[in-house]
Amino acid sequence: MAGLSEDMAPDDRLAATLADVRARLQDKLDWMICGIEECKKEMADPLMRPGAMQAIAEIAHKISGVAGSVGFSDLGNAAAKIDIGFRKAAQEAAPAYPNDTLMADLETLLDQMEAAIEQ
Amino acid sequence: MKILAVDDDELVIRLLDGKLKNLGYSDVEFAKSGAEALDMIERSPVPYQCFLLDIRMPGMDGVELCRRVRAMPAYRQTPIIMLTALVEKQFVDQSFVAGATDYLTKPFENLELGARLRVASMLQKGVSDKSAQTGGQAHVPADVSDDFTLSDAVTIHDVPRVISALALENYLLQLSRIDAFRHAAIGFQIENVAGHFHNNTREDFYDMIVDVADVIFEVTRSVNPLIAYLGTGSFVAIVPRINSFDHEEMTYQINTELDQSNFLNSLGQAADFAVSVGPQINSKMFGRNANDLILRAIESAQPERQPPTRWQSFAMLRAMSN
Repeated sequence: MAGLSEDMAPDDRLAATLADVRARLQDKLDWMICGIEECKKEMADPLMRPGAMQAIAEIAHKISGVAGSVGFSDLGNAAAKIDIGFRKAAQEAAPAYPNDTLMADLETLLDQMEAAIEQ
Repeated sequence: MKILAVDDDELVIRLLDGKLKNLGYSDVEFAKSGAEALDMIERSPVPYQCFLLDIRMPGMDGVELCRRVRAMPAYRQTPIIMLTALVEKQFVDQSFVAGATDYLTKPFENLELGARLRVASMLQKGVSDKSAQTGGQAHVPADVSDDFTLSDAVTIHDVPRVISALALENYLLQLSRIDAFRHAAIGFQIENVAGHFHNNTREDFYDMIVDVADVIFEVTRSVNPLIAYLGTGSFVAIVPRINSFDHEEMTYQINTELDQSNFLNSLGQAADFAVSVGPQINSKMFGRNANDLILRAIESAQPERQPPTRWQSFAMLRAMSN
């Protein structure tokens, strides 16, 4: 792992790991935003909707597992909300288009993702 | 402690690697899927002593992996900590039913991860010591060797939805965060348990508590309970707060089923035993802690003054020091 060496003090080593993971997450956020935007378009088609909603939940799940540990608590919380909301909605037999609240939460997540890239 | 951590997310693996090393755990291996983990377990010349499992993974999920690991004789008691971003009750329930010892939600703090691993390490040491004493050849599980005492909260295997006392404590801790006051506890007490303990061999006594666990499960199965044996003939079942149980009817049902089971010890002698059932104890929204509910359920089921279980003694000491 770049920036890490065996002779570093344990806390310095952990700080370097966290910085490394944070940078890697930031790198991934760009294509994750693109992925969510693609899924948003696909959700308009009832046939593609379950898969698109599931895919959004998956992306949010990945973010929520890591973001809070590397200083992006708001991003992690927004992602956790989307993970749960979209996964539940996608499990229905013929899921309806997400309601306004859920879509507003999704926009919040996208905003948080963009903000995290800048930080 | 030799740890196997399983997560499909490369970033989580990097995080875990850093955090575990920081906590002083250097003997850690990683797998990116359930299938890879099973392969590593099979090939490992030295058994793993603790597992950290993500739940949502492509292919085999962490709950199924937990179930498969737990089914291996060498890993019946090895600590399994679920490490997941999934907070809903259904996943917590599924994990503990599959044999998880603990459940930690992401994002995880170093302090909390460290505390859970220390408990896992102590548990693992206990398992190793017992296995060494029995040479791993015991007819009953390794924790039920000749030195098990009346107050020991021995783990009962092979009865559905029965988990260890420690796992029940961790389960309630998790429930208190997500489902604060929707659950309740019911205590069960084998009457004259000291007499049964002294008049039977350890194996017979173990078979007796397995029988009781089985009957408690049968009587409460409609609400998907989680049940644990706490030692000294005490059991606790965690059930939804709203249910259709009637205390008297349940007492009658349990004792009738036990009568019908015709329990015979290894000498072929019938053991006539009864179980008292406590009233349902509801969780409190602002309850003191998870152990408080278990303690109250155990106490409410006592038909007579029983010596405290080892679990009760520890729980009371912890309550006093908080």
